[in-house]
Amino acid sequence: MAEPSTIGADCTVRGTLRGSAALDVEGTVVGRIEGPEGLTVAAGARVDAEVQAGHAHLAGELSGQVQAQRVEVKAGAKVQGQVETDTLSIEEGATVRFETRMKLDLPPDAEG
Amino acid sequence: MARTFIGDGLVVEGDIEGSDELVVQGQVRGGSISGKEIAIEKSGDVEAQVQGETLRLAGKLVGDVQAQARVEIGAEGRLHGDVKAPRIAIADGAHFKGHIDTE
Repeated sequence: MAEPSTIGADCTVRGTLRGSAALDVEGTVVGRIEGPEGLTVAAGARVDAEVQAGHAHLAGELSGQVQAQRVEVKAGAKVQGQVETDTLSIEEGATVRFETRMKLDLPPDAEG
Repeated sequence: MARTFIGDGLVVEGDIEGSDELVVQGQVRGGSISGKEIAIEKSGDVEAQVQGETLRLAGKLVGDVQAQARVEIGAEGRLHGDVKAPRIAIADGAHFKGHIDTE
């Protein structure tokens, strides 16, 4: 498996990052992130992007649209925008303002 | 010192700015790269303008380079572009097409 990539704390990427290996953002990304199995937005990092990932672990600031199987919002994180996911967790102390879209497996009579 | 690592398999379309240490094993397309110590390793494939203090090239680069200190093109490095740097070293076996200015 490919080595994880890191955007360092002093680094800014403007554009699209595409790839399936893990991606750790400690700095700034503006644009799009496509495909990482695991995306970590570290505390102190800023992401302003459309994100599509397997698992998003958010401890820093993120604004935009997130599409991931699993989204974890950690204490201290700031997340706003739209989150589309199967599994969502939010720790106490996170600042969030986002719309969620989750798949619901409800019994037929409970739908509507 | 913060390190930015663009791993093999990652494609960046756009600009990468301001890293103390930048190591590229993946692909960078378009835009520009700026940093202090920049290394494009063997699997690295970059099409961008590069600006830094030092550049170590062991992979492929298409674009112009401006370095404040030095540029080193390894035996497996391939550079297509102009280089402006006070010091340059090109290893035997390297491919280089472009203009060099060390002044």
